[in-house]
Amino acid sequence: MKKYLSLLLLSVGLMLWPGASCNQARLEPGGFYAQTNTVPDLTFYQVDATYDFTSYALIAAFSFEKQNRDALWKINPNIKHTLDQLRPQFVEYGRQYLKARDAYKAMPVPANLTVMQQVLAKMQQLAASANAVIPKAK
Amino acid sequence: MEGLLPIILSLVNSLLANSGTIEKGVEKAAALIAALFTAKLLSIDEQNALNAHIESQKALLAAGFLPDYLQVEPDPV
Repeated sequence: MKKYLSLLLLSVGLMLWPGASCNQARLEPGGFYAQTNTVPDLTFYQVDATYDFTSYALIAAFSFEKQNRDALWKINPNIKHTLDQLRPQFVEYGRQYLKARDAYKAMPVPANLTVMQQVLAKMQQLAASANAVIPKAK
Repeated sequence: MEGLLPIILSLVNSLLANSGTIEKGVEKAAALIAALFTAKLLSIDEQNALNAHIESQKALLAAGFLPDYLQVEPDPV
């Protein structure tokens, strides 16, 4: 489980890599991000996919700590304390992302997408903090 | 970038082979990696599933639902 969490959180870090956007993935016409009579919005899909994955990685870390609390507490009380600081931030950033996403859906302009990306960047920092405190597999 | 992708996919496949309980998370990782690093065609179903999953979070937040793993609880004694 620890190895899995480390991989998940490492993968989140990869999303910050500038080279991650230099791909040729395509959206099948008719899907939510490529609706009829609209320009396919691959960036919207990628931001949403990164948000979804980042959220899942953080939830996995929170769940892992909750399920193994007593054992992890004996290893280092700072694990729970750090994640307890991240928990409310995760909830708040989730609200902010969903609000920004609704704004972008209503008006798909670059400025609104930027707000989504800024909130996502904050969530990725949470993931990095969680990764730093979760014990690594030996 | 091309050199890193096989390593990432190898790690993902290794995790898939070794555990069923974390399968969902690894599937998400593989899907995201494919979206960012390959020339994959993202199907209608994939797009709509992602949108539906994110939209479902709005409903949970609106209902005030906070799972136990997101609640700040007292320290163990």
